Amino acid sequence: MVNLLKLNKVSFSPDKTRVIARDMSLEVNKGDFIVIVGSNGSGKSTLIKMINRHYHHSAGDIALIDKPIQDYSKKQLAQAVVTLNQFVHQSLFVNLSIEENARLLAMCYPQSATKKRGRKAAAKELAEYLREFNVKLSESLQLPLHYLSGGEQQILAFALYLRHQPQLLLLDEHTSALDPKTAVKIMAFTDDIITKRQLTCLMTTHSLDFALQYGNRLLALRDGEIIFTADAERKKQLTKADLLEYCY
Amino acid sequence: MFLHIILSALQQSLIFLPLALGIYISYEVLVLTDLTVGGTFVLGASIFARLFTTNYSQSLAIIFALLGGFVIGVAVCIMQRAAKINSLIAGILAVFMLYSINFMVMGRPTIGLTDNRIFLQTAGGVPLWGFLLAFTLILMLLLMLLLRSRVGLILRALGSNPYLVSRLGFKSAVYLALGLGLSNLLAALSGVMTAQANGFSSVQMGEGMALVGIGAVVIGCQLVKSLLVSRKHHFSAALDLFCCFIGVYIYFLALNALLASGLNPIYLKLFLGLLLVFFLSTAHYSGRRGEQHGELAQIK
Repeated sequence: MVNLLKLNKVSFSPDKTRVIARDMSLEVNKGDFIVIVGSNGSGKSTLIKMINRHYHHSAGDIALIDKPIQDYSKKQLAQAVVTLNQFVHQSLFVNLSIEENARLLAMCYPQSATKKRGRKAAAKELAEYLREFNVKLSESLQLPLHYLSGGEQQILAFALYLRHQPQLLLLDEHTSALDPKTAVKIMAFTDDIITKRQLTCLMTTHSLDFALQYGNRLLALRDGEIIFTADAERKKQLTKADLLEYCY
Repeated sequence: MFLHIILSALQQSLIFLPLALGIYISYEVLVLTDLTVGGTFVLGASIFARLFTTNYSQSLAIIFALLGGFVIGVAVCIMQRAAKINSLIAGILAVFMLYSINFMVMGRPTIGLTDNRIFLQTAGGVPLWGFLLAFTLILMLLLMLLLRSRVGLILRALGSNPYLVSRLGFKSAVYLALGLGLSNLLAALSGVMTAQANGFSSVQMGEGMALVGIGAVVIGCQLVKSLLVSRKHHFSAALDLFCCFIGVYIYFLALNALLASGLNPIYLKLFLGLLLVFFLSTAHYSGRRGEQHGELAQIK
């Protein structure tokens, strides 16, 4: 198994009086789909934000492909780690069109196809690519994103960010803002794309159904600490009652 | 009389338009309320007047005037990002300080500029409005190319979400400096043109200019886009620049019409102010405009 991400006794304190994450240690292998559960304030989002360097960890080490994350430039990190959450406006430019968002994201990648081809050819290629995800998206390239529904925006975020294969996909409660039916649809779509692309993924969620149904490993957090881990075998045996006991 | 108002308003609009285009870049593209343009408008006129009257060549005087505007724009960006000052306050502070700087540059409150070598006083023998129209078309074409380019897209992205621009690895401070620099360069250009056409430069000439510019941009964008049936939500650089022109032209038409109707000039600002209140009050912008770059600076 190839080790992709390693956290060694990682802590995060925003000031001297508060510790939000404490001594978190975790090894993530290539192809892992780890589901992270825990109550509000348990440290799930903090863990994600330390990995994508939105927060700078106060103690311990975080290494991505054997290189400390602080040694990555912003651009390198943006290429290697993709983070999506329930707030699409934090991942995409909602005032800009689908095509403009695609152009901006393509600028982050040195080997981008749109850099080599003309704008028209790139738009045609984008439409073909988006058709695999959602026909409406492929036909509305010039439409600003705030005219799309929440579900369509979430699918678009997946489509545009996963146009280039990231090393690590971080999903921070990405279905929380959606209605239950759309959330189920997006979660199935998420699982499908992770399997097809063989992505390595860490996903936080409040849905215990999703936590049990998806992923090959599970972490439970409470008060900023990892209190329970389950591998594939153990995860299959878990019940909702177990998760409620561990997390809440 | 009617034709005179139309042509006079057109000429005034074309001289004022670069400032409105500068405001378009800060207010609409970067989504910042930068009032610095009121000061850099005067700075452009001041540098040009001082250098021209101390026997520098006219072209060199214009280049230095434009550079002056650009440098102030960059300085305001530093105030916003490094000193973490809210964009609105940074602009007000800049205008406050520019009053002294403009006085220092000119050495006196007013410099007369009546000289037959000055471009806008001779306009190469063609009618001034014709010369200005050709110049404006070239300027708008250049801006359109910029807005449609990679840099233009990043500037618009910066206005949409500065946090994300930074997260994607773009140097957001550099692009903000570029945007504000360009905005203030255009204001300085308008100042140079005003000084040339009016035949003088004065430290008072920038009063209320930023507000008029914002008003004109909002009026133009709202009116023109409300008339569009399709594609009104799609970005078009050409349409937006045209909207700026229409907004400025409507403002100067109203100004000239009010003066021609015999209105006491004392009440002019009150009437025009009320016109701006009407259009700004129906603007679709949120009350938090111009705050996000300051907040970004505070996070870092």
